[in-house]
Amino acid sequence: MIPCDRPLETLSAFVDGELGVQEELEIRRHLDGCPICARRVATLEAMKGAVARTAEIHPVPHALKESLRVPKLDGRRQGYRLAGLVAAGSVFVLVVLFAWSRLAPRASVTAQLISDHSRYAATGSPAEYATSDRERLARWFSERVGFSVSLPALADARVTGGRRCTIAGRKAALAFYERGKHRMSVFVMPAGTLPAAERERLRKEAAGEAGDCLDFSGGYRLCFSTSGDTEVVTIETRGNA
Amino acid sequence: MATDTFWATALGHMSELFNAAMALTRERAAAEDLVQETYRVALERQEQLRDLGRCRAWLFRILRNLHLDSLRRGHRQAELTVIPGGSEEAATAAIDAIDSGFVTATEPIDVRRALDRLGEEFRTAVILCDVEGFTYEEIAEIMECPIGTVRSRIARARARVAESLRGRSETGGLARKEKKP
Repeated sequence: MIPCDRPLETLSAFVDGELGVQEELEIRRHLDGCPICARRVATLEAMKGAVARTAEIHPVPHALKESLRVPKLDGRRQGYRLAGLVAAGSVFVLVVLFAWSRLAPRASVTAQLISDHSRYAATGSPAEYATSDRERLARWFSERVGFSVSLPALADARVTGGRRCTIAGRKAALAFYERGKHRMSVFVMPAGTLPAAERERLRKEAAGEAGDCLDFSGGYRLCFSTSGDTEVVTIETRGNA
Repeated sequence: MATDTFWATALGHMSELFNAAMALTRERAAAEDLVQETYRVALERQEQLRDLGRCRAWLFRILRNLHLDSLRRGHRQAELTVIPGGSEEAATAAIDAIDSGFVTATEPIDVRRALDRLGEEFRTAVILCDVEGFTYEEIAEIMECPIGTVRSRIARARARVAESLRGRSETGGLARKEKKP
């Protein structure tokens, strides 16, 4: 093999797209005239792909998911493995319980809604039913979630589809909207899914208020409304979404 | 930063954290413990996270540090031993001795075995890059080392994996993909 002075580290970083613009252009020009480095780059790209294919997908255990999603302080948690961790010392236990006690009143339903929305906003969750017809989507939901779903007409926004979801153990509808480049999630849930006390507490903690809309740090805006026997929560990521 | 916003964002990375924990521990129960502990620590230290956009890398950093602590407590120093990545010449020779078609035809199980033979710092760097999709800057943050070190470890890790695959191929130890007639 004819020697070439391009360091392997540089070629490896090139494969990862980690070189500066000038250096990347220089390497590209070099590759056009150097079959040795071109072959090395091809091998490094294959190595990168081979390592990527080793990824294993393990579903998150339900117990783990539930214990983190809906933190509780009652005895049901104590059987979980966290108890073994915190058993290291009573002071440690107190610290953990204090942390959970701070979280418990704030997480729950709203946290799940924001979590679901942020996943959609970041990656564009595949819709279970894709349509731009709001009325048709509402009918599709109504036939599947066990209650009549009415989807709001949002100014300058269009429906792209939706999927069923479960909020606090109850079937609910999650409709996807787009307003320009912004993605919005509209949750339609049976009345009472979002506890009044939680809604009131969140209102007090929100950074700013406008009618029934609350702004949260992180750029989330949550708007609450009711329609018949349902309550509707619209979440939009503002700013850089 | 409001706790609910932080928590919602952090929970959005649960699946990635659990899969990474499985890759590190190879045991379901240990992986559950590791993720549980990661979230407990994250909740305690949430004030340290200034930018929610860096939440994922921050959580991975906590997870890795907890895993390293666990290895040290379990006296599994062998896994922590830094194995030299070899010289630049040796690394380049290892890449030259293998071709892309051979690598592409290699079964993931064989690549995984080759990765398992790397030192923790090399294996973690290349997995964070190729499997988790982190940038060098993020990997440097997670592994608490300079970007130049990350760059070097990833290149060396690829060379070591190539060397390992070639070695096993020569001894007939690879499970090759069946070619369709």
